[in-house]
Amino acid sequence: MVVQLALVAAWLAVLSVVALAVKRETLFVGLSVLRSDAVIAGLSIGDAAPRGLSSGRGYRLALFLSSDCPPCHEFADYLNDESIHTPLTVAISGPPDLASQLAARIPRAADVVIGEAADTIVAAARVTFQPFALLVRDGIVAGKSYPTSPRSLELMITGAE
Amino acid sequence: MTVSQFFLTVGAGSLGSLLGLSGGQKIISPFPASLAMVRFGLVRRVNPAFGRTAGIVEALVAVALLAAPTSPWPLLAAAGLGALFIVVVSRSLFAGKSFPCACFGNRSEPISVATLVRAACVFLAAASLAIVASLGPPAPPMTASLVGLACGATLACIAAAIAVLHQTRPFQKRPIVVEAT
Repeated sequence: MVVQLALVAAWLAVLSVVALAVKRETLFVGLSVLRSDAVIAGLSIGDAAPRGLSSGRGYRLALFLSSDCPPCHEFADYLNDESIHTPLTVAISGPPDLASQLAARIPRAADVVIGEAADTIVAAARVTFQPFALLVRDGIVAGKSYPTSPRSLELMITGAE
Repeated sequence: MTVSQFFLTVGAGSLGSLLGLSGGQKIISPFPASLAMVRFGLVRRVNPAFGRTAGIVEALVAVALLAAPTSPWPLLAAAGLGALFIVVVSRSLFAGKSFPCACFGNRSEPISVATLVRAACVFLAAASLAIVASLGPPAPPMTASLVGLACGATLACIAAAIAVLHQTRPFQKRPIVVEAT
């Protein structure tokens, strides 16, 4: 009887692990679909960059964050002055109180835009999912991506070159 | 194994797994909970340490529930967490706010009446089981206790998987978008 009960407990434990695996993989698939939709929805490569991102020659990275998106806060934590090798503009949309908190965590080397100016850039760039990044070269969109770390921003430049 | 022992172990297994999953998620990825705590008005700044602390508290209650399923104290602690959650969610709902609460391990679902009902169910389950446990039923044999806990854990994990399937609908037909060039 004890052995049979132990087997039932082990079987239920395995079933729990399987259910958790299904949950994890489903979340991963759902997030991947959202990210790919966001990349398709944004400006196309070759389009003119929105005003505010198109000034100057050479490369410029535009990072779009939302103050009420947890991954955006996490991404801001990864950024530091050493991780920025290319001129960077960070447009932060979302609730203003949280936007100023998020802006305070962005390194000084980056240009930060918040408030209505940020909302205008986000709308012009057709950003639907954040964090999102655009690579601009000579005023033209040269790359776009859903970045997960400063390294993914660097890879956008490598890819464009 | 008596009926009360069975309900106690299955209940503790379900609640322990639910809190364990939720707490583990907050420890691994503390930003959603930290942001939710600011939106709930519990803290002023987004700090991952706050989210991680909340996760550790939930995980400790989960471990206590799984280690001592027939003791009333872990069940009271779980009921306390449920009550706290009911207070902050209902306060935000009355204020007309809607934001993802990072509750029950779900990062993106905004708070709604359904969140409140779920929190009330957790509270009622924990509180009623604590009352049963305080009547002092004898501890069940080890193997029977393991079966009850595993049964509860399976229920909680299947519920979590169904919730994610319902939220993401991965098998739903989606339009194929082709970018014009």
